[in-house]
Amino acid sequence: MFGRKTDEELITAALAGTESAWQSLVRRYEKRLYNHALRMVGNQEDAMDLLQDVLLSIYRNLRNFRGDAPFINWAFRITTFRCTDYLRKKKLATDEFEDAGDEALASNPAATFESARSNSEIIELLAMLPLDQRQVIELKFFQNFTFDEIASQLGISSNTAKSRLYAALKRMRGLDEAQALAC
Amino acid sequence: MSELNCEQCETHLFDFHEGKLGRDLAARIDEHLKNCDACAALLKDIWQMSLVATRWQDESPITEVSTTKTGWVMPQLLATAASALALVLVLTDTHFVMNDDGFTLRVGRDGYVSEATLANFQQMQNADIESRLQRLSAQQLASNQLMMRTLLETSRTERRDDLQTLVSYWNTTQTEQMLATREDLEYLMMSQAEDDKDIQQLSDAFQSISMRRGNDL
Repeated sequence: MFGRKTDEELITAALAGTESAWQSLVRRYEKRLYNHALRMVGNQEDAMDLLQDVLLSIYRNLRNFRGDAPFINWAFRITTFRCTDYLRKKKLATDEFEDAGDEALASNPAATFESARSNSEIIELLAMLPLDQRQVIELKFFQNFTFDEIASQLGISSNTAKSRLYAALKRMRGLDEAQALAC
Repeated sequence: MSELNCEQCETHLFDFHEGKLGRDLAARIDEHLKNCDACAALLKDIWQMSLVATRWQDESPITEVSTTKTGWVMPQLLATAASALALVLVLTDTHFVMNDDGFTLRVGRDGYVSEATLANFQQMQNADIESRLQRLSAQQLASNQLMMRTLLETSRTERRDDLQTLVSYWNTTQTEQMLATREDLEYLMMSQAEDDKDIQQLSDAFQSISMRRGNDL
């Protein structure tokens, strides 16, 4: 009777012009999408900008949602694309970021597995990774997607997703060891 | 059962970490991990990153949608707004003044709305919230420390009591054993003494018999 409406029901109602259905759908997922954006871009202001970007994109493309995968998977696919686009526009593309990551590794990395306890420290830890590795870490550990789902969202193979994940973990372990030597 | 190589192990390592593998494959992965530092280190990384992810505290965005009032929320928000307004009126010393022209709203001593007062109030409120959170955190820490000390003290006392009981029991047992041993020794000595007496009597009897035989001959 008073059961929670499914995503599909909300989408159908939203497409029919029911604003409250769209608002319910946004409220259901905006926190998750916002925290994802926050971990990807590293600060609240950019995360809010990105979230608005994503919500607008989702709204505009809602008609294209086919329902063959959960809505959140589709929403994350859009989010990942918008995030990559956003960061590249802000000149934090993979190649340049690779250098930034290496520089941080060489000097004095602040965050490690052990020390990353607060949100800001976790963001610092993730910021040490190139974008493509950060995406996989985020989607696997924070969003708990399977490798197949991650592969589908990023447009890569499942094995590539695993390789990037392990490379990211080894890189973060390298930061751990570098900090231990520095102490 | 053939051994796995590192590439095969890596393929299944995440499923192994999540407990999704069948028993046989899990056993083979386990066997490989015992002999491969690199893969064992990778598994440790997975565990550590999982731990990092659990530490994340979700933050709330402020979007147009999240601040849009819905039907049933409106009365609550109105009530909150009314309370906040009342508080502001009191803090800014606002009062209504009736006069021939109707009524005027006079705020504060100087008769103008003081933004600084509201800003100060907000600052004070934030500082108050901050200090309450800090006090709560300090109380929580003190409470946890007290609990730990109590637990340690209790377990130390219990261990001391247990040890005393054990030593008491051992002493008692030793004493009892010693008493029993002494009694046995005493009994043996008594028996020995009686045996000696018997032997002496027999010896005397034989001697007497021998002497009588000697006399008869």
